[in-house]
Amino acid sequence: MRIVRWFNALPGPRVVQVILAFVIFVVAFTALMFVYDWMGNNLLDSGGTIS
Amino acid sequence: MVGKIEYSGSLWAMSDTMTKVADPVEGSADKGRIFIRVVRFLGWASIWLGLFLLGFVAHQLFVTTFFAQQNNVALIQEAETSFATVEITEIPYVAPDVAPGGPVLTDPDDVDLPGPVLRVEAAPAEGESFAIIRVPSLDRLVDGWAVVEGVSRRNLKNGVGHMASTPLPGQPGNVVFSGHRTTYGAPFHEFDELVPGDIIEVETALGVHAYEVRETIIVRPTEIWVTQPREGAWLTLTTCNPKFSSRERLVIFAELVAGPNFEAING
Repeated sequence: MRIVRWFNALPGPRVVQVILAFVIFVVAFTALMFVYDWMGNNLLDSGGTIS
Repeated sequence: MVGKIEYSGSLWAMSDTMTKVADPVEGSADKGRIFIRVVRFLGWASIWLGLFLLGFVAHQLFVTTFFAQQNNVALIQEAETSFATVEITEIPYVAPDVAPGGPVLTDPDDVDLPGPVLRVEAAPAEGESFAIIRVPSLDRLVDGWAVVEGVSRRNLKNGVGHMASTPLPGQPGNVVFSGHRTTYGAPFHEFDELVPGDIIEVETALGVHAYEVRETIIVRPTEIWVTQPREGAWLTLTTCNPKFSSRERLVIFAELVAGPNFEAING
């Protein structure tokens, strides 16, 4: 499993690896939501404003 | 000079120094490996792209709507609370002269004669929920949706936005609301079903203002003339068109037909 290999490749003891993995997940998830939000506002529905 | 394609890890390189003629069997095997790798790459890319787009659709249609509906409950409560506390004043009202650029409101200090009295509420702060819009003929808006001050992207995530440069509901001129059509709860989702004669109710601290739909048009997003002042008291609603696209704007013009200021404005 590639994801397990990535996890094991993280530096430090197991606790640090878990914390790092969590931080990476949160950052990636936030970035994904930001991209989704940007795409939604520019492609799908801008809110209907006139400007 | 004869070249040979060499495979090293994931990198392909053309060697200019080799003079050996490529072996047809070995070359065929290399091509097969390339083909398999390309197919495998395209397969995984398609799977990840599909998951990305699936996530996008789920986020836009369900996640944003879930949070918008949660916010709407709180914002309606906020609006109802503000109805009891907002400051209301009464000013003499004289029907405006309509100039080419739009109506000009008469300065209340210049009016000596007793006449119609206009009830005016204090302007809400940016982002504040101050009104509730209801459309009895549309399922989605029967129970009402909160209207917040401002039409920034952030404000519209919370509901329907009131363009701050336009009058408040129930006041003379052209009140402009904007709202989402397909995301963030999609309060204006069914607006293409509105027909002339349908009633739109806007509740504020002054009471309930009833507007009757007069006209529905489709314009480009840059046609700001639809937001400009109009004679009488109007409500202009703008949203994206068609559904699932922000290419155009669906615009609904509705005229005030009843409410606390109706007599003053039309009498």
